[in-house]
Amino acid sequence: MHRFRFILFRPLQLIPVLFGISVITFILVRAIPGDPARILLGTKSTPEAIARIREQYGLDEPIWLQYLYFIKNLLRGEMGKSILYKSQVLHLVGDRIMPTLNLVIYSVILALVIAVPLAAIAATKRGRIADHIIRLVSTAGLGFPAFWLGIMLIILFSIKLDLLPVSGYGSSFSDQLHHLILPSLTVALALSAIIIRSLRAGMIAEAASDYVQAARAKGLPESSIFWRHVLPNSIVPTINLLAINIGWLIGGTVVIETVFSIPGIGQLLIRAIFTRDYMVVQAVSLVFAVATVAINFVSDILSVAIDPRIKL
Amino acid sequence: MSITVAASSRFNWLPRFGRGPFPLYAGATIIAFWVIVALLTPWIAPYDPITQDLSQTLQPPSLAHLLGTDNFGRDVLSRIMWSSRIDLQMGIIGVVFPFMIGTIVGSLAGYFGGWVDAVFMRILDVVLAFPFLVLMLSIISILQPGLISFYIAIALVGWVSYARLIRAQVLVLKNSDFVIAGKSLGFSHLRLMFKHILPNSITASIVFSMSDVVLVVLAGSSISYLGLGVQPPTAEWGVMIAEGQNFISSAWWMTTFPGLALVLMAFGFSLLADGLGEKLGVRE
Repeated sequence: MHRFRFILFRPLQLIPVLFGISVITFILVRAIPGDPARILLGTKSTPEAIARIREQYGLDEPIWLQYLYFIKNLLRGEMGKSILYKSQVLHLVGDRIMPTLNLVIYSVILALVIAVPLAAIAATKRGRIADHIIRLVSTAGLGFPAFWLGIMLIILFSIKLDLLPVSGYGSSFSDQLHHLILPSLTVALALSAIIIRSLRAGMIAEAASDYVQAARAKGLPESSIFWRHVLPNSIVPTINLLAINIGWLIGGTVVIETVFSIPGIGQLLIRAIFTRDYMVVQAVSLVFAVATVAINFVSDILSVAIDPRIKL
Repeated sequence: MSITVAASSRFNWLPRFGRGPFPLYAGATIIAFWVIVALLTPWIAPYDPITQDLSQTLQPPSLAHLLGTDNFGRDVLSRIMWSSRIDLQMGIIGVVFPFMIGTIVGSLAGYFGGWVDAVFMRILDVVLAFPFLVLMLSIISILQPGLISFYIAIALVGWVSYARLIRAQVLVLKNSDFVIAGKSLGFSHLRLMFKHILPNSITASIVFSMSDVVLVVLAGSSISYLGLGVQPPTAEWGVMIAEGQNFISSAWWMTTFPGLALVLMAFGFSLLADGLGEKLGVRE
């Protein structure tokens, strides 16, 4: 019953956060000195266009009413037009979401493929030489700038070995996969450095718990203790760990999209900042923030649904 | 595979990583190295970091230019040395302001509780909802690209971690005997907060600030790499890597060495944070 209530009422806690996100993205554009209508339309705007945007956003009204106009437009799916691309910013974001989404998904999969076995080795060989090496490498990895790591991988795999493309995205699915190997590997290596340490600590704590002692006492071989008990129980914390780091992951993809010239939302954001295309900056930060909140929310619900031990 | 709960006693001759004084000393040595480089650069750097020498462009590492030259004939080693001043400065200023703001907010929220706490914690939730780098980039877009904007953005975004750490400690300490004793002696709120509770609650934040330096320096160099932080021709590691990216097939040294410098500095601070955490008994 508790569990049911949690899943029912947890969404209500999102309301203040979403409200705060909308306020910050609203302030973001209003904080720019100058006439908001000119800022939203660019310098070469006609008087009619300025009058239209003044009315649509209520720019002559007091600030709190302007905020309500902003929310009204937002709920109608209108976040304004890009100065540079001359189209609705939400369409722009929609067109570019797939490369970013693919990059995030491949990076997470690769990171798990790298981090879970290494954390398992470090946890099972605790205090031995393998453990020391894995911990040393992951601590050093924390300090690796992802953009530099990406360029080093380009030099190695694209220029010296000529195996993978230097940059770009590609059109067909397999072509896109081919183009995303290096960018995903870059993000995955950086992400692994972050998650290996907590994963190792989690596995060690799990291995010290009573049910593992019980399993050992009933004579279960160590390998099945690990595979059947320790590993499955480390999965929920791992999902949480990934969700907590989703903000970091999104930031990482913004930079990596620039390194590899991937036409995703991150690249859109960086170009928009350079061209002072504020509507796009506003929309992208809103989309990223809502995505972060949504992913953390799903992870919370998932871990409660999967793991009956979580106390509410 | 066997799972041993107690650490194995074999390989004791290895410098035991993550335990004892080894990470602390190694980290302190690396950071001391960078501080000395940063301080002495004006006298020991072999060349000027900005002056171009178009007869010496894209030279591979040699005795005259130990780490080679870039596309304007500038000495990569000298530029790396000058960069260390800016990146260290980014790490320090980019941590000090969030630290101060976070400490004040966390103390107030934890000490007074009630609506003060509720307001600050909701603001904190919202800041945390944004991806760190995206919020920083958005703030920089309102201001203008440059180092000052970076400092403002990091102060506005970075305080949340410190506020949370301090608040958690203050919540525990404000009910302890020495605070109640102080209260009954009629000490003011400010005196209790900053002279009695704060010194006892700040250790975790100090340890965290060491690993935060790594995040801040990486964020600063990433933003400079994107062209929104330190502006060329100033030498900064992220800027140098961005400039070198156009020459990766002909001049690998332009990107490789500045990155290695960045890695070494970050590694130093990570080790320092590890060692300090171990020594002071703080677990992250």
